[in-house]
Amino acid sequence: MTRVNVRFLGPAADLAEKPQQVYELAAGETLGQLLGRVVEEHPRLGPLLGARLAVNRRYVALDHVLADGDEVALVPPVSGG
Amino acid sequence: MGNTERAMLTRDAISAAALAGRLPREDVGAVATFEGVVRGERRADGVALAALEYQAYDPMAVEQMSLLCEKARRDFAIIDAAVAHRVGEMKTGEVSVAIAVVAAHRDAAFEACRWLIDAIKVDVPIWKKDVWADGRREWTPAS
Repeated sequence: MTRVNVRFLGPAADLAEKPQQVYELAAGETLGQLLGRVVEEHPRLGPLLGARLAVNRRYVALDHVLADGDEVALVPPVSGG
Repeated sequence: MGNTERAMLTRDAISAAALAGRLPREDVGAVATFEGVVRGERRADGVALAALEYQAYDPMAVEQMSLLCEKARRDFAIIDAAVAHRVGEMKTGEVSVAIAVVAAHRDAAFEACRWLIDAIKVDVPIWKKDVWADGRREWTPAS
């Protein structure tokens, strides 16, 4: 079984009403496919569909294939500095 | 908080001078520094900003800052660069981010310092909330 932990960071945690959630994946599931399911379950995250995504703390593209144990992060537009 | 040799995330006060002091001085002819400071503001209804509350995705924030320092060393004619970002609550006037760049000549030092603060504001996973004098807290829109 493939499981990943999805982190909702910054403003995304308020929209999802939780800081993180574990998802079970189909074999070969991409980040884009997972994101679709996440937003379906948490419609308030919809405005962040264009946000950047990180896997294991590196920015990656939507076609990135996920692996068991990955840490996925939804990274809303940042406001540091 | 995670740290690398050239990138630091901390809850303690930071300064560009302290950061610059950690960089080598051999062959250096220019030191450029930048400090981002919590600016006093007023809401449309006149309520003053009391503080900003920063939170980071640690350790990715440190890793991204470290990558940006490496890229600055590759892309500009500098000798070294270091970055520190503070997290937690900071009152107006306090330093939230500090950058120090050392180079043989001033042009590259200034350019790399400017590039680093712009890149930090795009790439480093840090978010902040406005904390108003009436107690209201809300996410600061990304700039």
